[in-house]
Amino acid sequence: MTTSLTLTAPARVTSLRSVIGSITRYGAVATVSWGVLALIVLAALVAPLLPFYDPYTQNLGGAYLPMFARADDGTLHLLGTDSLGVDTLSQLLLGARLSLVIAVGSVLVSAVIGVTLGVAAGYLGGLIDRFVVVMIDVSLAVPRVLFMIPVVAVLGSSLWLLILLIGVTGWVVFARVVRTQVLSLRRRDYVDAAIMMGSGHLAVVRRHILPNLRSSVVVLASLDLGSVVVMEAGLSYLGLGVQPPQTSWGLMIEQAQDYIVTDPRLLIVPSIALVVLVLAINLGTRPFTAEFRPGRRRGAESTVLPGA
Amino acid sequence: MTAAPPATTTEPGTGISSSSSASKNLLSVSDLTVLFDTPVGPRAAVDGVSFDVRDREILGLVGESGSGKSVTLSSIMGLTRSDSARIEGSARLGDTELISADESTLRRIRGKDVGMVFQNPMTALNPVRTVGAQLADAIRLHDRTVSRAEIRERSRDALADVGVPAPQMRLGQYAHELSGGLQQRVAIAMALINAPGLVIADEPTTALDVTVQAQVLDLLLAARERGASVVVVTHDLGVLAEVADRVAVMYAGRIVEIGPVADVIDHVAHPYTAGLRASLPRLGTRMERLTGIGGAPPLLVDRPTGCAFHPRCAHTETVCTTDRPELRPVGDAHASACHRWEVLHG
Amino acid sequence: MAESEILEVQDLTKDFRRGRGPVTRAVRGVSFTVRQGETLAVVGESGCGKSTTARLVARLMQPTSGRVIYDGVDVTRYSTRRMRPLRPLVQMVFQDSWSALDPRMTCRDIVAEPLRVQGRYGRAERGRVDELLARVGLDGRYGDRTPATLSGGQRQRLSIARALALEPRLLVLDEPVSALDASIQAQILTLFQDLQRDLGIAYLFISHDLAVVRHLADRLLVMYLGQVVEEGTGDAVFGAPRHPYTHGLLSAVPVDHPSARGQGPGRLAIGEPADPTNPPSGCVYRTRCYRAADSCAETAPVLLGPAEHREACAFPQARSLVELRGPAG
Repeated sequence: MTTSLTLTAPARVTSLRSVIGSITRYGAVATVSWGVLALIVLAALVAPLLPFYDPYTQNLGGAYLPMFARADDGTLHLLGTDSLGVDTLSQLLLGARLSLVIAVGSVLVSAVIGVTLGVAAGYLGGLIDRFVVVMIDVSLAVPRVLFMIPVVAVLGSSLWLLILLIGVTGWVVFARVVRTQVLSLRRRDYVDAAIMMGSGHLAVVRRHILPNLRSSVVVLASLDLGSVVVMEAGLSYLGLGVQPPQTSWGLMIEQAQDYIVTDPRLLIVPSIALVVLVLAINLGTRPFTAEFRPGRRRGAESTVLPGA
Repeated sequence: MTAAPPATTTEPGTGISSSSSASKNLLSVSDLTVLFDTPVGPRAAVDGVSFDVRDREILGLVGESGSGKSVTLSSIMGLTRSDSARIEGSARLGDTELISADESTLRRIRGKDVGMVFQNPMTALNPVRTVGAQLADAIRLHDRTVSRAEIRERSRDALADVGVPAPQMRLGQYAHELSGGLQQRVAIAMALINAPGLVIADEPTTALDVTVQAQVLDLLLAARERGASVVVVTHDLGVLAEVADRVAVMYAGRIVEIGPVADVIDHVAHPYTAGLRASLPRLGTRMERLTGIGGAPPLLVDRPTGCAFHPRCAHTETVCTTDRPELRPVGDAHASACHRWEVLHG
Repeated sequence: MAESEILEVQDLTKDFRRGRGPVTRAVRGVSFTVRQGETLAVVGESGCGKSTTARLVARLMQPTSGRVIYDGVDVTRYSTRRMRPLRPLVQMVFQDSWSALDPRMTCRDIVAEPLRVQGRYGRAERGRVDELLARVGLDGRYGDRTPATLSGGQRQRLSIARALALEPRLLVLDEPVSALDASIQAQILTLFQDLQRDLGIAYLFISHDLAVVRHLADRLLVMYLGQVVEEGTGDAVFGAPRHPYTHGLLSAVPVDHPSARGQGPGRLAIGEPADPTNPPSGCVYRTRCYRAADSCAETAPVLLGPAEHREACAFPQARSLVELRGPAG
């Protein structure tokens, strides 16, 4: 394992350089977004190693400290403290870990299930399509939380269960869009051309359907990431999500609601963090999704700008 | 440069006086230029185009994709979006200058003085309103005093005039209930319902079968019989041999040849027109190979110097690469923008 | 079946049904053969079943009944897997070159794809891709571009290069030039002629454009409402067309010269095609026919006579192009 790592290290450096090169190519907004994302992820990764205060240590004497305040013992709290005197910045950084893991994990689960079912329905049609459409309708009719409550009640709350639950109940967003798109992609003549070469259906899906879905799936995922972080917050509030003393951005927002009048800072800090994360994801993925604009297709051959 | 109304009907730059015949002009376009913003700066999709449409004539505007033929028409009718395009020159319909006209003037003219037929009838027809309701709209838009009974009668007659079977029944139908041929006929009925003096048809037969195409062409001829002038935009020279009185051949945003259709065919005076004709297979005579034209039309952002056609032309000389040829008379009411047009007649 | 017959189609029929709606018979009892190196054209109005026929021949669609025979092998019931080794025999070029080319692939990958799928793409074949591109008039610098950066004519050339990659003996061409400008259309038609001369390839050419069919076809089928109503060699059918529908189509083609206007007998095909879900009794064409008699409603005529020229009509009449279109038409 170690040897293989050292062997591949030089290659990684060059590839990292080319990755940075290809990112900066997409303009300032995307570059900044990726920088912010990298910072958040990095902070979340190294948070336990940073010389911050133990977020599990309560200090009731130092509760509700404003930003940049010092506690009685002289420690500096850059973003203040909460009702139990816990340092907000430390909480924010540790909360990022859980929020990111839950968000990325469950969106991945949703995307895999949704894309699989969407492609199967759109490409194969017939009974499978009808089954998936009914599933979509049912899923849209039943609130996700209603499904989660009994499951958590029986199995108990855990991180992995949470990811699985949010993921499994979130497939509809992906399946709906992917199904409609596959319905139209399947009718493209290049699919017929591939079949005439002797390609099997799996090869057609792999080579011609999935690559053409990439941009819309990336858009859906980036939109979904934001809503999942918020959903995790809601679940935590119901006691189904992250349980104290562990923390997440969602839980922080939920807990802050009790102090919305007395100390809005507790709500504002994690909310801003959440907005920055979602914005960075959306703006950062835009260059990769903008390349697929249906309007450009015919436009290239218009009377105004004929094709090359 | 904008809206300079020509004092005479002489087309600038052509030296052809279009008042040589007794008929007067319904539409006079002079020095029309349409500039589009492109990544490399503004470029002229239409570049100094001048032509007249006479009373009761069918003028054909022919050219390939990117020749500027459709942009010419949509600019005249104020349908070119102004945020991306700058339109210069003049287009006079009777006493009205269209290029500088405000939207309300254009709205009054469209549908009443000028009827428009488009390539795809589905885009001209509203999918959620009945044929009758749309015909009624077209009437009422320009005359609020007509009675319901009169509207019904005129709508029915308009459909019957364009050969729609069972017109009374069609009034209650929706566009999607009609075949492609019937849709185009209803669209034409709508364009003709206020008896406009000018009918503009943009590729009206392109998507149609040959049988339906023949019927649509007959309708354009019938509109002319009833006193209208017609401008047909097409990429199909064959369509013009069937219906047009005169043709204007466009290439890279300019008219390269204009004249009576028989003269343009028999005494072709531009190598592009000759190539276009040689590209068309014929029913009557089976040729071994089509001579056609090599290469492809130039991009808007990459127009050649001198004559825009010179890279594809078999008769190119040095002058063709440096000097842009202007339209010059080559016969009675027949003009060509070619330095070497005589070669074609040799 | 004779040695030189690459494709034989016997009594092909295809029914479509939307949900629980009525059955539409798009193709009814069509039979024909295509021989080595020849061009068979299928001509007719939209909805006549010509494109469905192309897709049945290409094995992109399963016929309701009838047989599709590739080079002597009945492939009608072949699965995707069994078709695979036979696929190279028949390739296809589509009308809409936007839809025919995957927008995410480069030109070189598009042309290499059939070789890869058939497991024929090795080091030696790299040069073959550039050769194919050059063969259709696209030089190597287009290799790394995507279809969106090409013009309509160039995209159609790319489609042709891809179809040629597996060295097919038959190309199914479904309206391959009808979306192109006149000068580009002529170039592509000439390319088809050159390829046929050099490679001995056969074409099944689907078109609604009679002049193009006249130019390219050795033999042709005229289809109406899913049936072949007249067939024969190009010279026979265009020289002395006998079916009233063929008369109607030919009389509708615009004249070559304004002097021929109004010289013909007028439009001989009345109105529009009948509803294929509810075809007329007897002869399907009788509702538009200028020669229809009462008896046409009773018995459906069948194709009779030698394959050089035959028609399905109770009252055929050989008429010349001059009769149908006027002297200069």
